[in-house]
Amino acid sequence: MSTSTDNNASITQESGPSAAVQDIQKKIVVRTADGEVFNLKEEVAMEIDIIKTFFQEDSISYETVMPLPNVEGWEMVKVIEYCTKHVELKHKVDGYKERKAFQALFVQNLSTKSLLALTNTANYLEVKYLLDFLCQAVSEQIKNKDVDYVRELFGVENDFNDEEYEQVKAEAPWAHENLNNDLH
Amino acid sequence: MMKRQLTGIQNGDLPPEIMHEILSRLPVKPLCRFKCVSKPWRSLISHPDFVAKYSKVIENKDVFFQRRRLLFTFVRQEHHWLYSLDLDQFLNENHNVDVGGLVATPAELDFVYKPLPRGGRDWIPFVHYSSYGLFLSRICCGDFSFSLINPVTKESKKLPKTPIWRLPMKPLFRGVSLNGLGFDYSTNVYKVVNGQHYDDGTVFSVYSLQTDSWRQIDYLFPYKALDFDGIVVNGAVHWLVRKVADRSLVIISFLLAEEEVREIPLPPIPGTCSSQLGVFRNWLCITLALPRAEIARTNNEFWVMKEYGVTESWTKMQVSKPYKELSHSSFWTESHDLMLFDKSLVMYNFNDGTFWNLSISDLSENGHFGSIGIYVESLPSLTDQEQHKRSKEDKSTQ
Repeated sequence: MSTSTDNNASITQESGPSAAVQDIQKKIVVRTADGEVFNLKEEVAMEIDIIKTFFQEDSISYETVMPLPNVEGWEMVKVIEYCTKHVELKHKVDGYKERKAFQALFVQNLSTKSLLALTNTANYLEVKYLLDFLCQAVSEQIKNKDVDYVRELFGVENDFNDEEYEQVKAEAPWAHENLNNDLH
Repeated sequence: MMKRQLTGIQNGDLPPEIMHEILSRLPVKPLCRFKCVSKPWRSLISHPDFVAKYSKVIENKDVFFQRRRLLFTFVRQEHHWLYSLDLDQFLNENHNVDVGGLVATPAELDFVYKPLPRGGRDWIPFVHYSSYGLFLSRICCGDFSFSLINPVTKESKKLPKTPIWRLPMKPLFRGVSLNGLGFDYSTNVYKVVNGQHYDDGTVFSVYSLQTDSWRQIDYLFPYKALDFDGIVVNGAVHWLVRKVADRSLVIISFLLAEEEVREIPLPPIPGTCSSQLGVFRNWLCITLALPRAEIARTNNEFWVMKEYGVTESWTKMQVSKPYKELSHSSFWTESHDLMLFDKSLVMYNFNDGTFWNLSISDLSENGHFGSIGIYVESLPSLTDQEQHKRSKEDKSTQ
């Protein structure tokens, strides 16, 4: 038997006098790798394909707490934040500007490495539109960086010797110029 | 339970398809730079499948806006100057600013003509296409020669000379022929269409970047051109022509995939006006030019063919700003179209008829805009063709 405990960190938790008086909407409960438990509104949970598939299996009741061993608590918070906004904007006719503003804020305090981790998570959780957005966000953050930065970020070994490196670089010298002052 | 680290993400952690997704969203410059990251990265970025996927991603609107650039020429004292401008970025950075004082700074693409003899005096550019990664450059230096150029990678490929097909007859206006550059989506190949015209008609030939050679269409098409630069819309190149038989006007369409010619009737324009063929967004467009005698008069209307090939779909459109010469730059946003009204670049709102002038720095009053179009940043593809050719060791170019 699983008991669901409301977690203070969960942003889907509604503040109010008493949980019993509140919404009748179904909740889906997940537990992340670090033991945090999240209550998701059903409509938000269904945006996450891996959760949707899990609960659509026969005889899985909504009282089951779904384990997400590959997801950290902070990542779940962000995913819920994005999916909740997405659901909200679905019903709006002209949400383009609002979406853009939200997206800018969403990535504002995330380091590139955190963004990468979140990208991996969005892929695992199977939320396509979030994955698309995060891939775009990562590319924005690295587009003006040099080769060393990228190697360090992705943990890639340099397997060129000096001569080979110069040779490859010489194929497109223009690509290595003006890294901070892109006019084009 | 092991916590995943936030630092030092190993390449192994990120699935390859995600890596590809991220890379395919980068602009061309960093992508080419990151070939130096490692050998696997270099192989990936150069791989034809990746290059194909990279081109396909522009079907996504956001990626398209990120990669497109305005490409235009400015003519000053008989010199042509070539510029590129990231207008999307400029508009994004300034969307809250009063448009009145905005001045955009273009980048000069002098690599195209500086190396030429006489510093490019003989360079007469041909820039009239949309959504492609290359543009066609023409040098008139005794003999006409064409090159395909990728503006961002600065690759350049000289085309073999177009053979003269009806020897010993020589085409009219030797060297000045019909031209069009387009992309055949059915085979993913760039093609250049050339038309040599004679008193009794026009002979077309097609150059394919893949074969690096010209192929003649063995037929004398009964048309004579009024304008030489082809308008590319809907996978075909178009010219305004006169039928040899009765001198009536018609638009001909050279289909890039089928390599066939079709006719498209004009809209009902008044007999006193002459017309000019252009493109308006994704539609064929006819703007009007008044007879010389009425040089003081202006027009407020033009026609667009809203359903390709359907004569009844020619629709009259109005502008609140009168023009003597009007063309569309192939650049447009949700709210505005960038049009060239006589000598000014204007961001025009067709919803309410308002507009504002786009000022471009460095361009003084002593000149005028030549041709305007857009290109989309694309990965190197010209030099790859060269390598492919060399490795095959055949291909005779005429």
